This record gives sequence, structure tokens and C-alpha cells, in this order.
Amino acid sequence: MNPALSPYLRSLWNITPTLFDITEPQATRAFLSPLGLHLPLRAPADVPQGSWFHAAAAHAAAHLVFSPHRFDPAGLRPVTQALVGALEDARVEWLACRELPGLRRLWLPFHTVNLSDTPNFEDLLRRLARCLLDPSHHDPHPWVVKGRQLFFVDDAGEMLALRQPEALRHAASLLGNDIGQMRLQFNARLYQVMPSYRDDNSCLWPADERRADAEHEVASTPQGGAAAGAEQPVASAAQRHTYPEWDRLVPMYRPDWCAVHDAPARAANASPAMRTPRAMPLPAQQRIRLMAQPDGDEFDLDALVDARIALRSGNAAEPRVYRRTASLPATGTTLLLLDTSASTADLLPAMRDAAWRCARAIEQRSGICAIHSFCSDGRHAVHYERVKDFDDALDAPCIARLMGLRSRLSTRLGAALRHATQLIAARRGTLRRVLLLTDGKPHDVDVFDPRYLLADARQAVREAARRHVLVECLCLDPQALRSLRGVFGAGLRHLRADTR
Amino acid sequence: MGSLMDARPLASEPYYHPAADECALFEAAYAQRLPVLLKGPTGCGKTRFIEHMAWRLKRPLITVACNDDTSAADLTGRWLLDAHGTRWQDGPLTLAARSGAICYLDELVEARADTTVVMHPLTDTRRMLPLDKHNELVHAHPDFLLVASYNPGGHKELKASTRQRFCALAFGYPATEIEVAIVSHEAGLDMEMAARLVALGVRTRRLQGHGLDEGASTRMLVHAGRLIREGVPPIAACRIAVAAPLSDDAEVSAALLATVDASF
Repeated sequence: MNPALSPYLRSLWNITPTLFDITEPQATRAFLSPLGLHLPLRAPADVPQGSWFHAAAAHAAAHLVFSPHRFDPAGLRPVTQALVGALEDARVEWLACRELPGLRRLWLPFHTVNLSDTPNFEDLLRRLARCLLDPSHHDPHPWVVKGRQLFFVDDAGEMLALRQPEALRHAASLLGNDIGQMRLQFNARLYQVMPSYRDDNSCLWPADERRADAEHEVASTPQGGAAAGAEQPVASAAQRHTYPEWDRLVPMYRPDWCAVHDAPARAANASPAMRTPRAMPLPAQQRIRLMAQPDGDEFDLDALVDARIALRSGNAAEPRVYRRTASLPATGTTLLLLDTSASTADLLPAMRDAAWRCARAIEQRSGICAIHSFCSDGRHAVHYERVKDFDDALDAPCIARLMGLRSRLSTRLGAALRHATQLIAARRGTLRRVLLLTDGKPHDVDVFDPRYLLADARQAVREAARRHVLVECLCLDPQALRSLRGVFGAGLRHLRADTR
Repeated sequence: MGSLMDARPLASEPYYHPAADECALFEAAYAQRLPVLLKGPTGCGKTRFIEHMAWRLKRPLITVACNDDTSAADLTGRWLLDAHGTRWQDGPLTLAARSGAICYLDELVEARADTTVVMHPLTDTRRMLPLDKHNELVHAHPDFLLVASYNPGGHKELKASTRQRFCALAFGYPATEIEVAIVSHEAGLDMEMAARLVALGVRTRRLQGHGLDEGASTRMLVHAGRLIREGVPPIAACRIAVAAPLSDDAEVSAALLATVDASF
């Protein structure tokens, strides 16, 4: 699925239909529903692959912008209904091309025609569609010429004749009668709108006449985060990532061994237990005085005297005679990773407080910070929750999510570190750091060797170092320092839980 | 710094198309010597406006582009060391205050905090600039005016104590017809092509907040127009002047390129 369709439609028409994937693998046809635009997972095999999704999305968007009318199917034969659809397709495309002429170039490659001497109805309809999209194209067939004359006011195709739905319906009836007189067969059951980028036109008819799309509706899943509203269960928004795990006995990686389910964290309900962490005064941003600088606000008097002595004695003077103050370099990007396994139940308030204060301090120093948490229930269910993403503000909803964290399950540290590394390595910047807040050593329900997960975590820290991501640990339990020292080395610190 | 000494009124009129009554308002503010803050997104015409007004008022214009390393000494002046000893060198703000020029601090919000404080005495009724390092109190020339610009969409904000000293003129992207006229004039294009460029600009601005911090500015559209005037095909011109500079994000870039393709 092409992910750039949503910004594409927003910029073209200022519309934001919800985009759905049609999960049925055989489906190759887009359709519009009251929910939004449904697109198949892949383009049909026989068309230009690169531009098919853009063509389909631009066509459906033209319907959304220019097709407000619903046609009444009463008294319309199936062939006339098909022609109404074809003429309406051509009408919305013509209107769209008037504003965005480049769309014609996008759609035309899909209009391949069969110029046989004995054309069937589908051939003629394709030829008519080709002529209506590209008025400079001339087709000698009398039926196509008639369709063109009904559609445009002028020969050059610069004025649209079918401005009203009634006129369009009338033109379709005339063309449909001609098809009947030509004795051309029309099979309504097998008919598909042509070319393949056009949707099935079900949006043109009232809802009760629409094709029963029950199986599509059930099978369609919204794309991306935008469609996943707050009311949807968090589990459905989780993205699954698999990571290898290091087996210290073999010793080798077990490929795709752990599954990390990444989802936004749930906010706490407003309850008496919820409180804003206490604000602590922060030290002012640190500034340092730089002496003997090539430029600055004031003279560095020592350097100035030396320079004058050098000049007086006929030597070359040192030009670095200024001093200035500078702020310490930016804090870079930090991902705070909270261990929320069951054993942290007592320490969780302290951990929340520490995370909030760290995040605030980092952001006040122009750093970028995210707060994520994890717990695990065996290797297939490492739950990874995002309390605050890198671009989120440290605001009330974020604090509510932080307060919503609950201690549960176990600690599969390696998989969580690998996922955190993956996320932060995608960020730009030179100083990238994962800071783990934990209560002790990792364990999980399906691991019985106490050293297994420690060895895996140590391996994950090394992998991160190879990707220039620094992994450090704040441990709240002094008992665990010894075993974690082997994992984090000098990056391990002890944080007293009563540091308030 | 030597070139600042020669600051003279501009010789020819810089092109500016008023969007409303901003020229008259600025003239009124100048008549009362009230400092003016120009707010607006990048490339919407703030700098061109002040050039135009300096020409209208026949005052020299001294422009300082502020960045996060701009210190108070960069504006007021500093001691230099030369072969004969130390020598005081006026900064651009001091020079403008002495000579009666318009001092234009571009992107004031980027400057360090001490920078914004140093100009406070110049912006109220005192109209003076204390130079503590030079042990001097500079009284501003009667014609001197301080003008600053800033882009409110950025991540920094002006302090209340600074912003309350200014009258503020808010700039936005011009209305479509005016923007078409501007692009047509600046790029030397016919109105139809200029209208197509402006329509593309409006489309990119819809992505503001949805992957883009800001959409294509008028300046960007003028750049694209000048490339077209140079004989570059419109799609290629808009790709290099609009789509490519706007975003590095793969998804947004793809959408922008597809929008450019659809527009011509």
C-alpha cells in the first residue's frame, strides 16, 4: 500500500477521506463507502504499477469533490446505468483536469483501447472514455463521435455540455438505445468499470442499491495511526515487530524469536490517585565562560596583555584575545524506557516521578525526549507502550498516560532494548541515548536460566553501541546493581527510590 | 562593518504590493517613532516590506540577521585590538541609533536573551543606548527607528517584556490575486502561469501541520517562476524550487512531487 496517499489527497483537494485496505487478496478495485476510500492491497498486474494507487486515489477524490448527486436507478436499464457511470467518471475527471492538468497525464496511460473493426460494448466504452479524457484524440467510430458530441459543447472539447445530472442521464439513455440498436451484448453481471483505476461507481447510486459489500466492510482495516481513533481499543492499534534473541549457550542468535507489540499507552481515568508530579526547581541552564577566543563580547585581559607585550616586542601577536560565555551543548535525543513489570509495583510512583523530571529537564535544555514503557508475557508478547513520543508535548494528556501505567507481567529486557534502539536510531542527531529505569534484573515466564536474559540484554546493549546509540540504566534496587553491572558497564547508576 | 558606515537610503524603489493598509500604519508608527514588530511566516514579504518602507521614508536601512549566537556585543559594539592598541567599534544597532537609520533585526527571537534586553532602553521614551563597556550613553538620533521581525510558528517565543514594547504588524501569505500579481511581477511570468504556481503554493500549505511545518512561501513560488522564465519546464522547476526544499520526509516528499506532477 502506498503510504503517501493521505497527504497527496489533502494537498490536491483539501479532503481527508479515511483510507482503508481491502484485505481480501484477490480484490483489485477501489470503492468509496460512507466510511471513506477503500483500496486493494496491490494494483492489477497488467497496468503501470508505480502510479496506479495515485491514479485510483485521485479519481476517487474527484468523485468526492465533484459528484455530490446520487442518481435514481429507477427506470434505467443496466447498460444505461453503466453509461451513466462512465459519463460521470469522465465528467469528474474533466473538472479535475481543469484545475490540475497533470492528472490527465497520470490517467491516460491506463486508457488502452482495442481498435478492432467489430468492437463489443466494452471496447466501445473504453474508446469513448479515452476520447472524453483526451479531447485531442479522435476516434472515427460513429457511436464514439456521438458520445463525444453529447459530452462537449465544442469540437475542441473545452466546454462541458453535461453540467446537470438530468442532462447526463438523458445522454446515457440516448447512447444506451444506440447500443441496443447495434445489437451489442451487455452482461451486467460480469461488467467492470474501465479502466482499472476507476472505482466501482457504487458511490453514484443510493445506498440501498449498492452492491452488497458486507464482506469488504468486514475485511477492510483502517490504515495508519490517523484512522485509529481514541475510542478504538489499544490492542488493535498495536504494531508487531519481531527481534532476534541471543542464546548464550549455543551461542547464537535465535532469529525472529521475540515479538514486540508497540502501542500508545492508555491514559489513567481521572481518579483520586492521579496527581501531577511535584515540580522541582531546576538549576538554570549551565553556561561556561570560554577564555582566549578569536571573537567574543569582551577582552580576555590576560590574553590581551600577552598580545600587547608580543606586539611591543616585535613578535606576532596571538589574535585570540576575547572571552565569551556559551551554553553547554544540546542534550541530544533521549528515550526513557520504563520497566513496568509486576515487581516494580512499589517503585512505580518513584519511577513516574523520575521519568517526568528527567523528561522536563531534558526538554528545558533543548533536548528531545520520549517516554516508553514495557513488560512481557513470554517471548511472543513483549508489550511496549508509548507514553510520550519524541514529538509529543509534555502536557496533561501525557501525564495522564504516565499515571495510567500499571505494574504487570515480566521483564524481557533484550527485546525491549532492541525495539527502543530501533526507534531512536531512526532519529537524526549525533547524541542518541536510551535511558532504562528498572528495579532489577530481567526475568520472564518462559525462561528458567537466570543468566540467559542478562546475556541477551548485554548483547542488545552492544548492538545499540554499534548503531551509535548509548544505553544507560538507572536502577532503583541496590540488590540488582551487581548483576546489571555486567550488562550496562559504566552506564549503570543507582537511583534511590526515596529521592523526591 | 565598514560598509555599514556607508548606509544610505536605497536608490530605487523595492517592489512591494500592499495587502491592506500596512504601509500607512507603518508610516504612522514611524511618525511617532514607535518600534514595530513584523510577524509572519518565512518568505511572506516581511523583509521586502521594510526595504520598501525605508525607501519611502528615505531612511537608510541597517539589517541584522540574528541567530542563536548573536550576542549583545554583536549589536552594540566591541573593543578591537590593532597595531596601535585597542579601539572601540560600534555595532550595527549603535551605528543606526547615532546616524538615524532604521535598524531591522531579522528573526529577533533567535538572538540570545541578553540581546533583546540591551535594546529595551531604545524602545521606550528614553530612546537611548547605554554602552557600559565604552562608558558612553548614546542618545538616539531623532530619525532612528527599531524594527524587528519574527516567525511565530517557530519553537521559540518572545518574552512579554520585549513584545510589549512594539507595535506589531501581522503578515500572512497574500490573498490569491495579490500573490499571483506578485509572482507574475517578480518572476516575469504571465498571469496564467503565475496563477498555476500560486495554486500549487496553496495546495502545499494544506499540508501545514500534517507533515510540513510551513507550506511553500511566496518567495519559493517566485524562485520556481524565475526558473520557468529561464526555460526550465514547470514541473522540473517546481520540483527543485518547491517540492525538494520543503521536506526531507520520504512520505511527504512523495506527496509533494505527485502534487507538482498533477498541477501542470
